[in-house]
Amino acid sequence: MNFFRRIDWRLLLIFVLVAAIVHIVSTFLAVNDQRGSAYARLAHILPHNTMTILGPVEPQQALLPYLSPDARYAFCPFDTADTTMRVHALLPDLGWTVGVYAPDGTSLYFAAASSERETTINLSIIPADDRFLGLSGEAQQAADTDQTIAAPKGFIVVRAPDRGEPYRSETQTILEKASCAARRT
Amino acid sequence: MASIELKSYDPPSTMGLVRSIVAIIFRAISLILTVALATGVGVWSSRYMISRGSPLSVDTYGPWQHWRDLGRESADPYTKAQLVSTGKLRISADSAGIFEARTDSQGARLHSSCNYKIEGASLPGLWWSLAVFDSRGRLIRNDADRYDFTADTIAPNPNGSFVVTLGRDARPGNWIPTGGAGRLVLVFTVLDPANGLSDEQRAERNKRLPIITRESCS
Repeated sequence: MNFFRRIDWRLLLIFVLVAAIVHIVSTFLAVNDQRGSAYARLAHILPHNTMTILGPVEPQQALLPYLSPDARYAFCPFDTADTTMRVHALLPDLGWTVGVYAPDGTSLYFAAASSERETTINLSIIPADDRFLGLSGEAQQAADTDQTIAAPKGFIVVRAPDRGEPYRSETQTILEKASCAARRT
Repeated sequence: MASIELKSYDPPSTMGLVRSIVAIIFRAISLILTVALATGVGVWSSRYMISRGSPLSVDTYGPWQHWRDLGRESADPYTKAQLVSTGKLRISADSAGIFEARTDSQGARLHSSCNYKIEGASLPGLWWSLAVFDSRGRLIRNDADRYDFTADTIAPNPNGSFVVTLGRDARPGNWIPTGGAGRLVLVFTVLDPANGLSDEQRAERNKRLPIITRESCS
């Protein structure tokens, strides 16, 4: 009982309140600080609105931390400020995937290959705000037949399982068929 | 006629004044220390929950941690901050199970000075990979250029299960060199099939995660 009497309850309350406020502020600052995000790192190095195929992931060539060496990657950082993006990818076998990510790493679109058949992915990415007022004739036609997602910025990742040296040229050939291209609206 | 009794004013003694000032200073210091300590605890707890996770955002299966809403729009702030601050590229939890281990199945920190055996069950129809990194997310440089095994590259047992060994010295079978890396992080990725997995199938997958056994340390 003597111990509880000696506690300064006002200080304890202040401690809890300040710790909670700082915890919340610190967490939300971390969410909004995207300087170290995968998008920031990729957008800094790679050309925008172009699919870039990277070499095999090796210790001296890892663009991102914890980037799994189990795959070959093609990246396309995109910006749809005044364009529509057309994305095409071929997923021939199990382990092949294509994903569209927002700058904060949120997945906007993802498709994985099925083991039974080859999958062709055609996507249109349009701006997410009011600046986008319509598609050009060509882009409109494409958007009618393909899936369309809205995103002002982000990056596209085509991932091909790296089955080792004997398969690399075949993997490279299929990865080279992946594309992301800007079309003026 | 009423009389009023006037009390004479006693000025506080010097000792009393000193005590009051000391008490005020003590309270001010207590308040400053409390606020400083609370600030430290607030920042530390936030960073810890972002980097290592907590039951609010992470499911734990033995040594394996799984951020349950990774890459989802509805993810909690800790999960979002984890992705943004580390610079990781992760497939969404809707499309893959990504599990990280920093300890063996007995709870001891994974370290390159030890040899480990990783025993995994067969995962029919699912593509998976097991990769090893140092504590900063870098691949471990080695002469064999071997950093991971996948469902494509593993030499499985006849029943489809597999064994991977980690260690400094070369071993027969599915060996990944880890010499000189310090603390290790294992990442086990299981892709969902094209038609997705039900909650029951996910629960079954999560029960079949590899077991990490420490064999010896030097």
